[in-house]
Amino acid sequence: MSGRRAWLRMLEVVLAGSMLLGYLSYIEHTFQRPAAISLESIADEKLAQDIMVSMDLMAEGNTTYMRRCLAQGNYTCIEGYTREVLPGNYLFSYTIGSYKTRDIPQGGKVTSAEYLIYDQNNTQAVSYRLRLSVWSAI
Amino acid sequence: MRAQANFLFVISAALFSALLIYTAVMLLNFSGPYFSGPRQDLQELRAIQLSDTLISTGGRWQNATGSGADWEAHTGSLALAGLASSYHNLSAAKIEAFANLTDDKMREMYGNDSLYFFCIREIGSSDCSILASNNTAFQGKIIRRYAHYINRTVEVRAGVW
Repeated sequence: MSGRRAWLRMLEVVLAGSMLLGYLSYIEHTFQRPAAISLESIADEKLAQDIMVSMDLMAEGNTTYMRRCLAQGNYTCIEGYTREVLPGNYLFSYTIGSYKTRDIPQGGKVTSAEYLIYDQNNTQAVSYRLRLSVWSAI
Repeated sequence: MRAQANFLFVISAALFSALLIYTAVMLLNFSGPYFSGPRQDLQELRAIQLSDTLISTGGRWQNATGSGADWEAHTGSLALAGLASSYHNLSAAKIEAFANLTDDKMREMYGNDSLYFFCIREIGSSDCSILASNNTAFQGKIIRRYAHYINRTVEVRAGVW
């Protein structure tokens, strides 16, 4: 009988402990600060930004590679270049105006960087706002 | 009576084990960032800063008589190295001068107890053919960036610990 009492006492302690832990975890969840932006995301954002800057610097005739692709509406040539330089474990999508080259996953970690291109032609000025989103393929 | 005692024993033991495991996992999760996180974060932060300075700025030299961005002509007075002739556009002269900097100069810039790693290479290449640091023992966080060099994109890897 005393053995049974001991176990019942232990059960009480366990239940009380789990309630306390649950309560603590609720308090932590309620009052914790908003999650800081992770350094990994900053590194990925810089990677995406670097790609767009590099493409914008790549001279091709009297324009740049990126401006030519955009002027022709040829987004696959922008994607082709990005695929060449971006490590294999990344997937990506460009958002150019209202057009999106690929669906961006809802869950998981997606990092985006924006880049604005201003193209002065002989007759008119055009600006493009590009958003490159990258996420891990794994 | 005995069967009921055994039943209670099994239930209690299962609950106790579950709570023990739960507490252990919670403590491990809670303590992890405090032991390993800050050090790795600091390494990554320094790598991001270093790579930004290298590919976005031209660097700076400074002494009693003057200062400027053309540190490759004044390596003795180098204050902070940068490899860009313009934003994200790397300069061959600066890369060459950077490759020839002495270890003492590097330690002066990045700290006496620092280990550092630099590599500039063609996309897809495994050799750091454009710039390589001699430090093969570097174990810290290395960050990958891209920059422009002689009308092509190159990969820049940098780390400091």
